[in-house]
Amino acid sequence: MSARLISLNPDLTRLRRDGYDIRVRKGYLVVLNVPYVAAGPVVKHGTIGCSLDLEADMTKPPSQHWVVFAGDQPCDAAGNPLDRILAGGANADLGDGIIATHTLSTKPLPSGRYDDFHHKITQYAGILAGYAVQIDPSITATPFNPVPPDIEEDTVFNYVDSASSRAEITVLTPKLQVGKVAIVGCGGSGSYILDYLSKTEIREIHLFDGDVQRQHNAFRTPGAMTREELTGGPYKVDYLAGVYAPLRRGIIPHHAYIDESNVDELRGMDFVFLAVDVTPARMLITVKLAEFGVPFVDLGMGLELVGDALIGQIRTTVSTPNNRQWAKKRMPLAGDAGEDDYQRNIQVVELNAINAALAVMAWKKLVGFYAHPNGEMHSVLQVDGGVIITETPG
Amino acid sequence: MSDQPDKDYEILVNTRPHKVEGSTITFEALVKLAYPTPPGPNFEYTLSYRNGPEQNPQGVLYAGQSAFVKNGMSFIVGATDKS
Repeated sequence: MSARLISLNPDLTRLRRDGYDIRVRKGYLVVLNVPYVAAGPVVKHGTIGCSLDLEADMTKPPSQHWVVFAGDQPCDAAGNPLDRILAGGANADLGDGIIATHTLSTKPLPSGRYDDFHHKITQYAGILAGYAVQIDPSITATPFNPVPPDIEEDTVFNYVDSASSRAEITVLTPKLQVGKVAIVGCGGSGSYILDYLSKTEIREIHLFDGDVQRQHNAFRTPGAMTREELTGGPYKVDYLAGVYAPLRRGIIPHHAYIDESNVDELRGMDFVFLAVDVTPARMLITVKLAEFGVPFVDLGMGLELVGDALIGQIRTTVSTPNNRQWAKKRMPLAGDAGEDDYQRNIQVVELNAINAALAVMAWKKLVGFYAHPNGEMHSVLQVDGGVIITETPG
Repeated sequence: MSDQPDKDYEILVNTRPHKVEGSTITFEALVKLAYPTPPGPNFEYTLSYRNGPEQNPQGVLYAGQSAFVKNGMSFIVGATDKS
């Protein structure tokens, strides 16, 4: 990925030709071995990280004028901190164990904007190295280090995730890099769960659903289906795997309902999202997942027409080895699908989406991506009110 | 034990107003108010509430439990098993 990106883009190629030691990691352009003056004064080498603006892996003019820096606080030749460019701290993971802890900021004159990444990097490297050279004239920011064989960044994505580098949350994204997750039930809510999970580095996302995608399903699925896609009634899991294939690999469709014959396929999952309608299936799966020691989130909604408007509740329940009985009490497990013949199955797409979003947030809290100080594991959103009511075990 | 007579409160159940007697109400009584004709023997309810008194301003109720009530308190009762 790194070598390919560099060779595709003239501004990056030029940096390498100039002799800068660059690579692309986690959506950052990373410049290694940049000489600078640290307090002392003493010459050291640090790393500049610059989030890349990309369109189909082609660079655009930098939208951010600052960079992050891994090393000590940079100084002038006398050892005084470079206050005019120091712009606070940072906590950015530049890959390969390098964490940037400073933000540097300066705008070029006269336009205030950098033309391209060659312009931007030469500006910052020039300022830092310029002071280092005053102490040691043999120092250079362009060492012409041999280009290492392209250690392919271990990523599921087909193009660089420049969102996380841009938002400087690459220290958090490894928490989402789990091995295997399953989405059981790929209807309205399940399809939105896939939309959200597809944008993380989960290695394998397994989809389970025996249903065919029909015309009415198109109105509760992310994006827009074409007539051609609707024709022939593809399995939901195959249709969805196809939609997200351009973004990433590792989406594995299974066109089957989970029952006694195949529930063993959920053994060994790191996490399961249960977005099924049919209650007998839910009972079997929850019992088996408890047996397998697999944590999961069960979600569901119920809407009712009262007078001439809809009301209802949107529920998310998390079950882990630490709270199985508590969670079981909060999930609808004993019902019979047959009883629901006379119940209208009202679902609305934005409520599927919010239910899915709450379920994904609950998983991300478990893995520490979001703060979870109250430890809530059950939530009910009342559609007519503005509150999400939560419950914490214990 | 309070020596005040049992008060009447007006609460909302699935947005419909009901007058109830006494300072607390049970899960079962709320289900009956929401579904005078039971939807089925195995129907499972999620019951949540908001705008309650300071003893229980908002929360979820389960079978056999009760909550303190106040005027304008809103209860929603229904299934949550669709995805």
